[in-house]
Amino acid sequence: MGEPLTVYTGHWKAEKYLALGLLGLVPTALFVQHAAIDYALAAAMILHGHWGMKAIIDDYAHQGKKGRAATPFWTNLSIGVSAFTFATLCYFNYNDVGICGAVRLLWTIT
Amino acid sequence: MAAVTCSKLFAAAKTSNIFSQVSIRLATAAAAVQEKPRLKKFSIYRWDPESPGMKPKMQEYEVDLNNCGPMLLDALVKIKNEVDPTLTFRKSCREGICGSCSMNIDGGNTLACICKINENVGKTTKVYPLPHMHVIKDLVPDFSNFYAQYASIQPWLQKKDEANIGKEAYHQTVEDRDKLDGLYECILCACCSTSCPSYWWSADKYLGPAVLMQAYRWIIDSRDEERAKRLSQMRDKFTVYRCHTILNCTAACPKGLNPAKAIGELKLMMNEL
Repeated sequence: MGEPLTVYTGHWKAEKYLALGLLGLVPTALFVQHAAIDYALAAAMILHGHWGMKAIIDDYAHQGKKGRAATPFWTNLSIGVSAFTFATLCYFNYNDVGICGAVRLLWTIT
Repeated sequence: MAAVTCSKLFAAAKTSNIFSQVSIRLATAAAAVQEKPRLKKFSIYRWDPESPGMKPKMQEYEVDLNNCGPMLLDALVKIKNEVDPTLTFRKSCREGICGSCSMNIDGGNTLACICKINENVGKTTKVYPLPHMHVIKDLVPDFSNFYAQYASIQPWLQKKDEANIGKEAYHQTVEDRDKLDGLYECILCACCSTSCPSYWWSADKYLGPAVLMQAYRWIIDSRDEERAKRLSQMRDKFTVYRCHTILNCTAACPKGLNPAKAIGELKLMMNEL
């Protein structure tokens, strides 16, 4: 226990607040169509997924004997994929019908 | 006179008849026991560090359940006594109090002494050592890391003013004492910790459910004064937060305790720190 202690509690708290926020945001998006909700949804969903992925990488893709830090390759790849997906969703929100609009379209048969 | 003798004879005949019937029944029962042995197969993990080049293997043993106690430990003892004295496992109290005979039986971690043998003789019972522990021999795992982690949480009462220790009893309200129920009963058998996937992958840095529950036990003890210190030592990424609420620990505990709840409480307490 001689290593410097990096406090993780804040991150844990943020994860829980985000999950709670999504629980409210997703139903709201079904009823309220607004650009702000589109962007909030894009950010929250990507961050939620990214943190989940990060936990998996921390658990399974660490450097083993070289240290407990996660392998840079997988960390960087997950950051890249999350950033790219977020950018794509923003582009879609700006230039097209947006996330809420797309989900609405899925349910419109006519 | 004649009538009396007659009735006596009759009575004698009756009793002898009953005796013979009873003895016939006993004989058939004995015959049935001898004719139908309930042979149950046990497939047991074997590895001996003293035979160079030996790879771990599963060895099958057959035990007649009619001549064996009801628990898995009874079968293991029977095999060791009567079939193969080289079979190695830990045991002591044989009643779920000491935590020595924890092992993986038919896929679940539990104590062999309080695990009833599955009486379906068509099914082989598989016995492995606790998963993801270094094996010393056969069913004996290496607990060094587990015990070192237990020591790291300093599992004893701590007071800020050490000078007064031992001078008077530390009293506790009935309510405060009640908080320790469901925590102090842990026998450190490691069934929970070794059933936790997070502990499998991060046993070097994550304390695991058994040790965390004991940490919680001292943190909420009303007599302990180092609560803040104890909590602040656990706020890094690994010690507690590798718990992903999988709940295998609670499902595995042979004493019916709930380590997952204790870890949840720890996380909440650290938020308030």
